Amino acid sequence: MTILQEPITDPIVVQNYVGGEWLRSEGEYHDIMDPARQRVIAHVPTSTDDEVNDAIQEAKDVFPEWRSTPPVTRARYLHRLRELMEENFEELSRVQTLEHGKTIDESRGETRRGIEQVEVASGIPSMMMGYNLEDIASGIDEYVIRQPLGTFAVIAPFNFPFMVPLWFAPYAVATGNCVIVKPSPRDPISQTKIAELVDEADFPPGVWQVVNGGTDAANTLIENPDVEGVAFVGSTPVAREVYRRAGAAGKRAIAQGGAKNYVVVMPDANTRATIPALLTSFYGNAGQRCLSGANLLVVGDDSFHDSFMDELSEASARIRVGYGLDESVQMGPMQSPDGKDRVLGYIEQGVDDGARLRLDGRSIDLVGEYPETCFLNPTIFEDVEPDMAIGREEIFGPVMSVLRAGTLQEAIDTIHTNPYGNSACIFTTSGRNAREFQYNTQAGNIGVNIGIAAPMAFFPFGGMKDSFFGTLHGQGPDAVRFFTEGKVVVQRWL
Amino acid sequence: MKLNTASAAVRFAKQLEDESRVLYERVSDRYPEWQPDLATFIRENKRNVGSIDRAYIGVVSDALDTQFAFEGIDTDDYELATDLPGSPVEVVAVLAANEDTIIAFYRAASDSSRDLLADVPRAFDRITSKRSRRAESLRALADGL
Repeated sequence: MTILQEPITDPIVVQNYVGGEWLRSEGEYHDIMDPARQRVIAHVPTSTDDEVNDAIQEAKDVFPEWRSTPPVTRARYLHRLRELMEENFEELSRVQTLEHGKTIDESRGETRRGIEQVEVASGIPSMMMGYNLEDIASGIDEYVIRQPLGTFAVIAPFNFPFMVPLWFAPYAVATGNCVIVKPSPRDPISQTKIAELVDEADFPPGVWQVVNGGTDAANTLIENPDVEGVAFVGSTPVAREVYRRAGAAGKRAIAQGGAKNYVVVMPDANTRATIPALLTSFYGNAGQRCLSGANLLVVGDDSFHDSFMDELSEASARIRVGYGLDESVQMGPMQSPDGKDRVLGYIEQGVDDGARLRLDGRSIDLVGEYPETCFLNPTIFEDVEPDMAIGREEIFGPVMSVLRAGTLQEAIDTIHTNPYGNSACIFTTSGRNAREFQYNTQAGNIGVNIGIAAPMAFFPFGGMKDSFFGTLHGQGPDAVRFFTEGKVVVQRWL
Repeated sequence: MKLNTASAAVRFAKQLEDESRVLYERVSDRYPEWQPDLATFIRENKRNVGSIDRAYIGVVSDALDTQFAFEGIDTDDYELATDLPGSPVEVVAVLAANEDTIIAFYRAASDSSRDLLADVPRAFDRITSKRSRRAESLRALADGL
């Protein structure tokens, strides 16, 4: 058992990065706890309205200079940022584990996924090109150019403190905009670390800023008329509200909401590979991700169902839960006591509603001696119905709700009863089943023999129904379009 | 120690490479006439550490099954001999046996993770091929002694 060295030994005071300077907020501070060990690792401020507005003004001031910086030069800032991220890869990863609780494997995965966004955005000289057509009429040419808009805000969730803002921020600055990132107040240190690297990469002051705070800071960012658009990731009610308010103010918005993702297992699935993939899907990140499996739909007869569930339950019970910097640990804690309480409430609700508790994660069994404050072990419910709370609502924790279906079509119909549409996965060795599933299932990210259908940086991060509000998505070419205005020029020389 | 996570498995693979390299360096000091061949092995061990790191850190993703890809592997099954016997023939036999042990680990790790991690098992397979050739050349060296 190897426990990796923690990257933060004494609590740090989180500062805002505004106008190229580190500023100590005048707002109130609260403690950031390492969820596994329940130690204070940082103090984070709730920035005042003035402080947030100062950041917006800084961005507005530098925008004319930044938008006229050649794309190839802007890309070079990102190249440098990427190099710095690689150089600091391990520290960045361990910080995530410390502030969020996820395992070190998961944190390294998050770091890699974040860096890939910077890599893709570095291709902006090609990605931002417009298009043209000569002689739309004799002697008249027409072309489209893509131009930045100004300042964008990124309002980030707690579950991927490093990666999620990078779905947007690199594309915003690559396209010539300025960006203000507001991390989750629960785990803001990763974005502070990124801002340190932005500073080291010598971005012009005000191009990439970080302000800390909660709802008030978010509201200021959404409402300030000098912010052209907002990218938000969080719960569905808030995403819907962000989208509504941004739309009412004439701003662009990408608003990603919650999820209740179904994973379908067909009787022809390769069980050997499927079981560990399901463990990752349902329990990875302690179930706190918008692509996590939530409802497992087993298709087939009693014989297949029973043997598959026996194997899956045994594997789930063996999962080593503990401190994420312990390399032998496979699942970390919930990020907060609140999150754990919410999950506990759903487990009680599931029991009350008549679902069968096959594996009770309330019995805490940890690798090592740690406070149980945020920990849960994996939970499995069987005999779940789609209209039960645990079958219908986002739990956002390590709880697997198992449902049954007689056929693939029945499984797809069941999926469609849920208002969310973030992700759906199928495990099968039949190409026909796979195609039917990807063709008919209403979800923005489809996995075939993949438990977490996470799109790479050069593809859009999908989402449908109540899981997504907007038209263009984060990442890749969609993000470039989101952060730019397509201007059409019709030209005749006289 | 049971391995289960990619982080732990990669750490153990790199540990085997390092232990093996140290042993080759000691043998190289004792038998200067073998130095050209052993220097190749030593360089290769260092490169292997790099390629394992690249395969893991380069493509590790929160979406892949890194925490559950190495179930059932026990490091106790892959301990290397570190004592060098007195005769050259016995020394080469120890080196060859160590290669067999390392190959067995890489094969087990690759088999365990093949359906779950795309690039790490491929890196392990490439190292297994190189090490199989190395084991053959060590046995050929022993035959010539």
